[in-house]
Amino acid sequence: MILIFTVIFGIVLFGIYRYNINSIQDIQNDLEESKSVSLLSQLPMSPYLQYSELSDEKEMVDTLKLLNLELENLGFRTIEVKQTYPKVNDLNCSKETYPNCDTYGIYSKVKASQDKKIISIPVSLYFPLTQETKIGNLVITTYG
Amino acid sequence: MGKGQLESLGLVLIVLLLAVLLVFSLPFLLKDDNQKEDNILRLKADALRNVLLQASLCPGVAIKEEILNCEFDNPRCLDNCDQLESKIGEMIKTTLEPNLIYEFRVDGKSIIQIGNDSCLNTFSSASQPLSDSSKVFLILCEK
Repeated sequence: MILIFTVIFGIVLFGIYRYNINSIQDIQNDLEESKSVSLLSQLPMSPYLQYSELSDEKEMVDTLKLLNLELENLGFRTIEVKQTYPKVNDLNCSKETYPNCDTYGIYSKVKASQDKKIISIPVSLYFPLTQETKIGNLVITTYG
Repeated sequence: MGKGQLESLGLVLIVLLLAVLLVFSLPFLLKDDNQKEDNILRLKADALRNVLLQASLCPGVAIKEEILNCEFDNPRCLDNCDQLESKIGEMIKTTLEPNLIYEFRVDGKSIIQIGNDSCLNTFSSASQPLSDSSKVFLILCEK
């Protein structure tokens, strides 16, 4: 009787242990996703990206700032700004390809994982040289 | 083993079982995945409304200005104001994911309505006044 009870109890404890390990992993993924949502709303308004004119801050991303920007310590995710309208060449942006390119990579720390989640938000892209405002998406890929 | 001891053991087993059930059910009770998706859609609706209004249609003229110009049937970038709806529609389509349904609406002298929110669970951006008489709305929902 006591042996059977001990075995059942052991199996249950092992089940709980395995379940908790998975739950902790899920909670960690949830936290990372929440951090990505927070970045999604804050990054376009951060001084690293935002266009400002004589200290007047505009709700636009300065594309010239994007060319030299490399963010750090944001965990396993990639962050890029992709121009969607008008359509341009499907190229990564650099000093050589600007402004005839569509993707500005501003952070990349990739994890070899199948579990990834992509979220995006529309942003205004300002081109100071031509004083044009175009449309893009800020895309954050979170690796679980 | 006496009867009293067996009853105690039974009680302990029941308490253990309840504790195990509680541990397993807590994540399901606390989890609210839809809330996160809803917040992103709300954020997206507000951002898209701002982005559209700020976008340049031609040098020195943003969509916002052209909507106001069209209130007086005096477009500066387009041949006629009928083209404005298709331009805005094109901008939205290239920017939004294909699984999202949208409705962009300007209420005022010149009423503009692009897309159709044909789903129940919609997320509206805050309305943005353009002039005394016109306001812009953007509504999003998932297919």
